[in-house]
Amino acid sequence: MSLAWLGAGIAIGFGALGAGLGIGIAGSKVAEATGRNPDAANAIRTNGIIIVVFAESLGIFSFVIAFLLQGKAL
Amino acid sequence: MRQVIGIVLLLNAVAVIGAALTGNLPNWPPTQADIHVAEQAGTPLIHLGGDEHPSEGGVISIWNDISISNSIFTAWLVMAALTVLGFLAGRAVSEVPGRLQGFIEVIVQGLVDFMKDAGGPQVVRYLPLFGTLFLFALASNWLGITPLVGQIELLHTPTADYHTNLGLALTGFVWYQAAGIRQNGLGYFTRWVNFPAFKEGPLVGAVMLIFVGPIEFFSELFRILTLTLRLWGNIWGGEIVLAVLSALLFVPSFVLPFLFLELFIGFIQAFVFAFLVLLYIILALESHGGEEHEALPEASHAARLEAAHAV
Repeated sequence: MSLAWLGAGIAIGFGALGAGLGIGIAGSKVAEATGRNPDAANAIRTNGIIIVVFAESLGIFSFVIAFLLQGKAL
Repeated sequence: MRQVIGIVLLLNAVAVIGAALTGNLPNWPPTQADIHVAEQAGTPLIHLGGDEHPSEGGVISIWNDISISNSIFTAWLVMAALTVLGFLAGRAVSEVPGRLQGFIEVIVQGLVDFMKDAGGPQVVRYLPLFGTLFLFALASNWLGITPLVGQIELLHTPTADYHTNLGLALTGFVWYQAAGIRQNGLGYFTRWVNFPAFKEGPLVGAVMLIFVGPIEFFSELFRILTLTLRLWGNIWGGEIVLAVLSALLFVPSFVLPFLFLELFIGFIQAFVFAFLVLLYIILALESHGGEEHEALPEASHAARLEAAHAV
């Protein structure tokens, strides 16, 4: 049963790692694009938020799975 | 600014020293019992029908329970507040707006401008859906970081309960499918069953029918799932973070930076929820059926729409 807790930790850890990497890459590109073309900052920001959100939702999935595993361990 | 920080730190010192003198210091390190995490979903207040307890199933237990939960009650409070605000602002609309009317006008104008930016003038008719989703989610999210909500039995943040979010997501889902069917007629269904692609050749048609169609179909389901879980995970996770950190940090106001973070996240998530529903509406309106208006005026707009196909 305690293995489920280990699994929960691994799930949220790797999930957050992947989502964080994705958001980091996307965010750096957004900053680059804004620097290259400051006039389009608004459009770039909106697009950036949308793209970052898709990476984030994968992290949220791993949170949910970790939570389900934690409920199983109890 | 410096004085404000000084006063806050002084109040903290007073609180900690006072707690130490009266013997009310919290446990440190905190145990599980010291961390008051809000429930993942609302708890029933008034039971109307169905089972009293969840069935002992697998990991996900299905609970056939019809009752008024505390998150529904809080959602009603939010709705009442928004309705009263709208009623007061719209009661006496004048050419020269008063303070309240001016405030509401700024919000609505901002939303309309944003919608025009994203999808052109033809999507402004979906302002009631977009604005309602945004304002409801925003009010609920910000309710989540106010004191007492989520801590007493009567109040539970509506968006920290996935049932509410599923309801919002299903509303958006039905609305954008209806919008697509209304705009494109039967051609809308070529999203999933793309028979016209056989004109390009049998191989293209088969690939579209066997691979692309099912992927599109499941992406519809995943849209509901992601909309629901993204909002719920962010808001409920934020509540957990606040509860854990305020138990861990000992000094009351050290948690203030995280409170501002949650304020920001609440705004972003409400915005993202409403904007994704709007984006799905735009995608449904410009579905595969409408190939005749390939030459859209917004060229950069197409790139944004492509990105939305990712999920």
